[in-house]
Amino acid sequence: MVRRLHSERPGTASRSATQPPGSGAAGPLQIERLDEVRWRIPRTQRPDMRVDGIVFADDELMAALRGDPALVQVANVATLPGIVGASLAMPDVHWGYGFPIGGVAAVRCDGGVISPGGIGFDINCGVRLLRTDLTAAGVRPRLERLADALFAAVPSGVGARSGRRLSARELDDVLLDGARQAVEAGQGWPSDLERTEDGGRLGGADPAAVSPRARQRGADQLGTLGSGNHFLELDMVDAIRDPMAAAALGLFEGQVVVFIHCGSRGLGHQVCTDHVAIMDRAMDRHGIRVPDRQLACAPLDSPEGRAYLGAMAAAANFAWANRQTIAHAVRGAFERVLGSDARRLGMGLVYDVSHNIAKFETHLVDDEETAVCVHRKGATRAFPPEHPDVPAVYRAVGQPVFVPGDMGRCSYVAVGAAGSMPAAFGSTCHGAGRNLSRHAALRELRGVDVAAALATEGIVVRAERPDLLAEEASIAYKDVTAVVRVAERAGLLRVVARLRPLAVIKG
Amino acid sequence: MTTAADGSGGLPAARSGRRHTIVPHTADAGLRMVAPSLATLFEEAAVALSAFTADRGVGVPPSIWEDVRLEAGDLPGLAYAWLNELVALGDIHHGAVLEASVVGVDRRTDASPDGSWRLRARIGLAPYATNGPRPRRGVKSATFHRLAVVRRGHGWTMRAYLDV
Repeated sequence: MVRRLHSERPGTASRSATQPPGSGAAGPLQIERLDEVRWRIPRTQRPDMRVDGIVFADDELMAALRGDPALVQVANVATLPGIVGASLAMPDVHWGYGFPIGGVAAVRCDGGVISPGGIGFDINCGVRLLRTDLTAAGVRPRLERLADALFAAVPSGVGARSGRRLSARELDDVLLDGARQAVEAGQGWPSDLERTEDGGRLGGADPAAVSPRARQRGADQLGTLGSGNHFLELDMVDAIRDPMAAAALGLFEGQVVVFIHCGSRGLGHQVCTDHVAIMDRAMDRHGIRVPDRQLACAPLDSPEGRAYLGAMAAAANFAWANRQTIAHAVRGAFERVLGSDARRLGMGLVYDVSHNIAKFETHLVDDEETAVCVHRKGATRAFPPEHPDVPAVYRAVGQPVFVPGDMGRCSYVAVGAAGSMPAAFGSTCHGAGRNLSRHAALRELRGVDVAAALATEGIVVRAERPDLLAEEASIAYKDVTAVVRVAERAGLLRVVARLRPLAVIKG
Repeated sequence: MTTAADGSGGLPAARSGRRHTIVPHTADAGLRMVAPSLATLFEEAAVALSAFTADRGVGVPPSIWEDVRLEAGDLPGLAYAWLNELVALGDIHHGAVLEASVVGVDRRTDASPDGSWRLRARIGLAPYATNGPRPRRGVKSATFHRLAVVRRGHGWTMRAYLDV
C-alpha cells in the first residue's frame, strides 16, 4: 500500500511555551511578535536570561513549535555568560538537548564561555554539494546502477567502517590538516579546498586534546556516512531562482548534483561526550550555573575551554576529511558506472558548509566591531556578498548555503544575504527541521513500504535498514520550502535553486 | 507520552520489578527506566539502550567481555558516564551489548576528586553479524538534558535523552 508521506499541519500562532522545572522560571514563557517572521522572548521574564531570545518563524512554523521545548531552550541559552545580541533560533528550530537544534549564540571572546553542547555531539556535521555536467534525463536510465555503486562505495549505517584503520600518525595528520590531508593523499582535487569553508582545515587543532577513546573510535571510520539523518543524495536542479548566482555556482536547470551530509563520526561524538563531562565538573569552580546541565560550559580562556577548542577543531578537521574522502568515492562510483573521468563529468565541488561548529568571528555588537565566538548548533554560516571570509570565487554572490529538505520533497541552494549579519551573526537555517519524533513517524507509517512509496515518485532508495526509513520520511519533517521562505523574508539568505531528489542513500 | 518497549533486548538478569519505556523526542529519543535498586536500575538502562540500538538475534552469546569501573560526582553524572560507556563500547567493538551485570553502585565514603559515586560492572558484547545481533539505530551520545536518577517509593527511576 502506498500512502501519502507528507504531513500537513494547519495551525495558529502560538504565544507561549511551558517551562519545565528547573528551567529558571515558573509559568509559561511569553513570546512577543516583532514582525511577520520574527518573535521575541523578552529577557525580563526570567532573572537568569542575559539577552532576549529571537525566533525566526512565520505563523505556521510558530504553530508547529507549540508545546515544543525548543523555545524554552532558546531562553536557556540566553543565560550563558558573555552572550551578546540575542539567543537566536533559525526557522528550522526544534527540540534539541541543551541548545535547540537551529540555535545560534555569540559570546564575547573577552569573558564569554564555550559550551560543547552548543556545537553538538556531531562536531562539524555539514553538507557538501558536488556538481556534474550531467542531466537528469541522461542519467535516469542508469540511476539504479548509480545508486547501487554509491551504496557499495560509501560505507553507511551504524558504526560503519572504512575497511582501513589509520595509524596514530596518519590520524594526527587528519586531525591537524582536515580535507587538505585527504587531498594530499590523492582523495580529491586542490580546487575542492578553495570551495570548502575554512579551506577544509580549522586552525588551532590539538590532537593531544582528543582522548585515546575518541581516536580509537575514529581510526577506522574515515570515509563513512554513518546513520540517522545522514545521507548521500542525487538530486536534479529543478528550478533556478537566481540565474547569476546559479552560474557562479556552476548550476543549471535539469542538472544532476550530489549532496553529502555527515560529520565527524564516533571521534567527534566522543570528543563532545568527554568535554561535556569535563565542563560539567568544572562549572562550580568557575562560578557558572546553567539551567540545563547539557549547557555545561567553561570560560573560553580557561584550561577546559582551551582544551575543548583544540579538540573541537581536530574533530572538525576529521569531519572535513571524512566528507572529502566520501566525495572522492562518489566520483569513483560515477566513473565506474558512466565510464568517464570525473573531471570530464564536471564533478567539481560547489561548496562544503558546516552546521555544527563554533567559530571566532567579528560582528557588530551595540554598533561596535566585537570579537565573538559564534556557536552554531544546526545552523549554517551565511556570510553575504563581499565578506572577506567568502572564497574569492563566490565573493560577488555570497557564501553558498545548502538547505536539505527531506527525502521525498525538495532541497534548496542559496547564498548568504546582507541581512544575516545584523540579524543573526551571519547565520541561517540548516535544513527542514523535524516535527515528528521517530516513534511517531514509525507509528504514522506503520505498514507502509517507504522505499516503494518513494519509487512511485521516481526516487530510488538504498538503505541499510529499509524497515526504519519511516523515521526519516517526509512526514517527520517540516516543509523545507516554508523554512527557506522565512529565512529569505528575514534577509538571512537568497534562494538560488531548488533541487528534487533522484536517489537517496541512507545509513 | 510514553510507549511500552518490548524489552526484547533484555539481558538475562532477574527482571522482577524492572521495566523501561521509550520516551519520544522530536529529533532524538529518551529512555525511562524503573527498577527496585540502583544496581538493577543501571542494568535496566543497559537493557533499554541495547533494545533501542540493536536487534539482539537469537541464542547468540557474548564473545567480548569488558570490566568497567566508573566514578562521578552524583548519580546523574554516573548515569551519563554509564550510558556513554555502553555507547562507546558498542561503537569500538561494532557490536551489541548483550549482557550487563552491575556488581555495585555505591557512594564512596572517602573524599575523591574524581567523584563520590562509583559503579562496577561486567559487560558482554557480540559483534554485529548476519547470524548475530544486527545494528538498529546509531546513538551518538547520551546527554545531560533532563537526565535524572530519582528514588521513588521502594525503587528507583532514571530518565535519559539520547542524541540519535
